[in-house]
Amino acid sequence: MSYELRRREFIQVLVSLPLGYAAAACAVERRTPGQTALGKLVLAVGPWPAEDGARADEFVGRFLAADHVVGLYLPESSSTILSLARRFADGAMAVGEVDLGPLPDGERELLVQLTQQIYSLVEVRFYVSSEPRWGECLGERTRYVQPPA
Amino acid sequence: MTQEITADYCIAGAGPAGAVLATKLAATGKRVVLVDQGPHYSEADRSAKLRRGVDTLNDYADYNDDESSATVTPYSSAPAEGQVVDWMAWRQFGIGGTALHFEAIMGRPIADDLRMRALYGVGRDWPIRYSELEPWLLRAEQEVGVAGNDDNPYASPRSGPFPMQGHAFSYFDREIFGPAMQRLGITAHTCPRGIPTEPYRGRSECLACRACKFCPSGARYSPDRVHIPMLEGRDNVTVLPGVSVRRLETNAAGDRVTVAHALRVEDRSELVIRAQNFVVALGGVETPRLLLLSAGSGGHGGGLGNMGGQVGQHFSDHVHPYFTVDLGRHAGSRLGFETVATDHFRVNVNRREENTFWMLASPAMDWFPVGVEASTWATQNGTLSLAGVRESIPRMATVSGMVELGGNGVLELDPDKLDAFGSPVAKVRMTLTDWDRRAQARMGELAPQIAEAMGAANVSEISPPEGGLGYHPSGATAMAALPDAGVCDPDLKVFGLDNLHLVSNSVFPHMGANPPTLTIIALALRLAEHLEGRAS
Repeated sequence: MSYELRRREFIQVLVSLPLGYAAAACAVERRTPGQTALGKLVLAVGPWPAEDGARADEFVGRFLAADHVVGLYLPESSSTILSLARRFADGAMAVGEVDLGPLPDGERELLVQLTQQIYSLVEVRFYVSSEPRWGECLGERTRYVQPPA
Repeated sequence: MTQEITADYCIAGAGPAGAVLATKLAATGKRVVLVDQGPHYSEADRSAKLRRGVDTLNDYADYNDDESSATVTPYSSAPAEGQVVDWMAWRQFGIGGTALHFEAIMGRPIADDLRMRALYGVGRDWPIRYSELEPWLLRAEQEVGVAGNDDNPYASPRSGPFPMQGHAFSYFDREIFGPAMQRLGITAHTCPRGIPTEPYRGRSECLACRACKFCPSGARYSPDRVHIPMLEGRDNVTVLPGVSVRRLETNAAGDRVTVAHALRVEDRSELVIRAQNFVVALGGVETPRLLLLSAGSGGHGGGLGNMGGQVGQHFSDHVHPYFTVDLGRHAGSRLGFETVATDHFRVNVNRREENTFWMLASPAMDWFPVGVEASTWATQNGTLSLAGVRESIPRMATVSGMVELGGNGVLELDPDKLDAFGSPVAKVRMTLTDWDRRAQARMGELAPQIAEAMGAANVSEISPPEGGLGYHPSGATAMAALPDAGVCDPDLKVFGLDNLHLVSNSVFPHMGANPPTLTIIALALRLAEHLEGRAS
């Protein structure tokens, strides 16, 4: 098989990526109160501003659908998540800072863990660094040698 | 029903060593059977795995994620001599082997790495000198398509140029890491990569996809993309994925292997492969394990090639310590991999007293899950600054090392843990001596100096001393002049068996602080020529 043929086969599958995002987003209607609260926390802690709301919602959909991720919080910590989420305004996104002082130990630990986890993900690290998406072939080979904008 | 196959050469293991060897032997017209326990992943598989990693927020998505324990052989490890040193393997099973997901760093050994015992009283000597290995390293660079520059002042002599120019230095490497090294009297030089900077033998140049594990462009060397296609369509070659070699059987005299007994992973049906020559290229763990599992045939009670009790001895690996810094300024964009490294600490140390290490650095936003450091540094006076976390990640960089070890581990069969076919798995007891730990301590001392030289504000603690083992298992079936020091001779022929050869990092008597893949491929090319000479 030629290189070009193999590469086309690779790309054909890759371009269907948004379908996966859509499937995750469809799960919104079936969320439990704990999932809804966790999604609210992800939006508050995460880096997406309101104008990137669609992208943020898509991320939350995948976050809540990924067992290995969400299993760290639900269902065991449901009550802690619900009480922590109540401390953030509805629709809060990309919150600037959180005073940890008033938080009970469980809520504080959960908030820190969630922050550490979200900002460890390559997708989020790329986003805050203004990098094009992971896996997207840039083609041009001078970007990485240029000083950051 | 048992299927029988006959061939001139039976090669077990289709990683870089087996795949390269198969192409060279097949070109002579000999009948070659190449078997691997893992599957042959298609381009669609690769793409789907990348996609699913993104879909499920799994940055650790990998080729073997969906495979059963019949394909991905388990192993066990145990603390040795009271030390809590748990060894874990990062290998991959499949056509392409662990090179399916490797970073394609194509570092060479330095000459002294092959004479450790003679020069420094540590480890074991290779039975061949660097001058004999070097031409094969050069050929391996051509075989793989290594991009590099001859700018490494610490390197041992090379007899020819790299096949192509190295990658241009990234902003981070050129403006931050390189100058910091210079301030400390260290030269940062090109990091050679099996990732082309220009189209090479049908492969694309790197397209900066920054997801090298799956390499959407197809640029990064992977045996299944480069060498296996050379075998397709040849009527003298049979490539068999999903076939597990369980045991090698010898003749009654015990001086020749006659049969490889194998099972198809899918349905456990038996396969018997009869060949004139057998080569085991199963990597640093499964190569010694197969020799041990083949005990009992032809008087080889302790395992094939084990008359000196050397199979499984002197198992070694690399340790990978790292630390993260906040540069206080944007670290810049990247290709997805480091463009420079330094061999300074492979040369400028007293190796009688301490081990060597190789070092590189990169913007942390690409490789390293720095959420813990970013969150810790952004928490002050009881306030977590999420804005501070977001601002700091583009400023963070991670410095990592690859540390040489003396090779004091032991690999043996574990009677208490069986694989999916009922055979004992490999059990590794990894011992780290004081000498093994010196380089990590040295990196710990250097961390604040390097951070200061880069103008960094915060530095994380260096990773735990026992962290990062398991990427480069080696040494457990070493080549040696005599059977009391190793398992195979300098031509990689197993002692006592006329037609059994080994090729993988398991044959390294000692592994310096360089990734092993280039040396593995060099040895495969050298073995191919040796076997061709024998055949003629």
